[in-house]
Amino acid sequence: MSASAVHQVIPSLVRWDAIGNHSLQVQSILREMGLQSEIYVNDVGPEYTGKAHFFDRYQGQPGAWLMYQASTGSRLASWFAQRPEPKLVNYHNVTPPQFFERWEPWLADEMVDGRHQIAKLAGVARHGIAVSRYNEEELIEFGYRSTSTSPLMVDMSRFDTPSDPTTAGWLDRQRERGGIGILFHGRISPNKAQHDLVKALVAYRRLYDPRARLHLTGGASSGTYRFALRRFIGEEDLWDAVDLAGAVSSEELAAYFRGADVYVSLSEHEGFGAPLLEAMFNGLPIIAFASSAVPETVGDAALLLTDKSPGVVAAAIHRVATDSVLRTSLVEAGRRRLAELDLSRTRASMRTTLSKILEERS
Amino acid sequence: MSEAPDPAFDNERVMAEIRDEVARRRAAGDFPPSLERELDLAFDRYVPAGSVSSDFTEAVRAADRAAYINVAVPTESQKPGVGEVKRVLRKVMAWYLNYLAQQTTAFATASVRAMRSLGERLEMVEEQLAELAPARDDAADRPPIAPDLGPWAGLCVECLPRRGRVLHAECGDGALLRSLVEAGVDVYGVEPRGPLVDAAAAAGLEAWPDDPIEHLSAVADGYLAGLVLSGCVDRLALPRQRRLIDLAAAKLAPGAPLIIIATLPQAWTTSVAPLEADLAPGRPLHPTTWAHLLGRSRFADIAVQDGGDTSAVTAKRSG
Repeated sequence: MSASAVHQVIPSLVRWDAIGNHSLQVQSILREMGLQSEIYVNDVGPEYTGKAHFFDRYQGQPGAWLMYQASTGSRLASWFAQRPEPKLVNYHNVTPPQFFERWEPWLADEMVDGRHQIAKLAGVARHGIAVSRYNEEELIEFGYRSTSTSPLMVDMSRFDTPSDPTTAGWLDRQRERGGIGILFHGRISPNKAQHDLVKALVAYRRLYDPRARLHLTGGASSGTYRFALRRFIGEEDLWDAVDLAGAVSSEELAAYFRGADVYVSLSEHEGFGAPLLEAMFNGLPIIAFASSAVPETVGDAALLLTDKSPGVVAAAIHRVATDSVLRTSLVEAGRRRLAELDLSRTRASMRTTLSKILEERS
Repeated sequence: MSEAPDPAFDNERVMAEIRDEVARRRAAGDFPPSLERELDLAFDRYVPAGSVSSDFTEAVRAADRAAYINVAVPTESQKPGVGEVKRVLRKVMAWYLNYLAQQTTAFATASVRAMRSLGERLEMVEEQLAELAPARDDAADRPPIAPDLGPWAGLCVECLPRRGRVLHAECGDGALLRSLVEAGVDVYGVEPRGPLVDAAAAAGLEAWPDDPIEHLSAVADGYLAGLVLSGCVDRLALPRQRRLIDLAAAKLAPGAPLIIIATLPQAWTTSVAPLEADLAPGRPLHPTTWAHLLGRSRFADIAVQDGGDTSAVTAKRSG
């Protein structure tokens, strides 16, 4: 029996969340393919209340498939596993628990559960679609017999907005006082290693530019880690140089991306790394630690580090900040890479993947 | 430095130049490695201890460091005017926060002191327990000499069932395993000494490098259709020998046979290598003692057979 509907199941659908936006793109592709497609959630942000249904309202229908957007441990996974419909898993990666064991043991437990749940789904899912080759390898390790990769669909329309004037004005005044602005966007989380960015800033200010500033945007996944980061910043006497901006609006984020000189990621684990594409979109040169899916996402559009000791990161920032030719090369490489991962292309990739799966496995 | 835009810049070349730059600055003393180490240590001070991987002392030290509540909150800010507001708030609230912080610090300090005292007592208990605990049986303290179990092959073939998995621990070089396999018994073995287990595996027998007690602990309850114990039964300390019997009772299916092939105490020092005899944590038991212990556990139909320097005690797991 061929599929007449593919409904998605996602633990949480909130605004500007990369996985939530990806799910909305999947829904739009499925509807373009002539299939019914609804999104069922456990938790929904106020801006999406009309776009998603609570999962307990789901009533099966003949010819329907279910697709689980997997990125964390959730009770939805067990519910999904027990449903009789043919199943797909779209895997975004679950952060390995060891990053959180010391900081938030309860979250680490949740991550262990999440990874177990996704491994268990290998037995019931007809196919696993990963958003990166790195994630696909994990699916294969989990025991999925049929897998493919289709990149995360990142919608840059969030930057079709003017910069927040207050933030932009403040950043401008800082620039006038001299020193470069270094940006990293991502949740304050042990695996994102913001503490390594602070160490690199200490080295950079000492070696090259005593007025350099670091902007860290993004809410916190770990309050304990954020607290430690704050204390570390205080101990290094960097309150005038490190801006822990927290969760920001699209307008504020646009101001940060437009006001920065270089984007630096020292993250140790990324299943894809959507902010790297956002940096490319905003014309920022990227320096990135070559971990997990990062090299695959950036291609040749970043200065990739295999060593993130503060001295090396500082020297890399200095090189990118002062070598205009290298800087131009990185920005241009970023534009090329972004074109490869452009929404129209990633949508086409997902559409081809879905068509093939539904055709072969119906 | 590059001179013209390079559509695909050479990451390795640029990184090599960066590493040279770092080496040059380090050699000039601008950024000594010790500073990087200090930065690591500075952040590590705020990493919570008490996780699975950290020890008790580290956890208490971290609690000690965190016990002091500092009310001097940072007031600096990059945003104009905010720093001033923070300073005023800090001054206005100081009397209130100090009062709370003093009590909280006193409570935290007392708790840490109690924890430290508890830790010291626990350490003493652990030391005393270590003295009482039986010495470990280490395969490295035994020469890889396979025991001669040939005289008992006939008995084993006769007692063991042809259906269900049978375990022989320790199986040595697999001589008894081979006889049992040839007789149609679905048997596998475990043996902690690498050279012996390699020899058994090379002979095409199913043998795994494992400690008998650890292996049995991991086997599902009631899974085994038969069990042969040899070697380990002669050397283990009494608590471990008792543990072996308990494990055998748990892992054997009801009615399944257990065969213990043990060296007689009077023959043991002459029948094993001096190294093994001297360093063994325990000594063999008399066959009647094995029979007594089995009788007190969940075994029935217990019988003893003598055979020169060794004996075999057979029993069946009660239903």
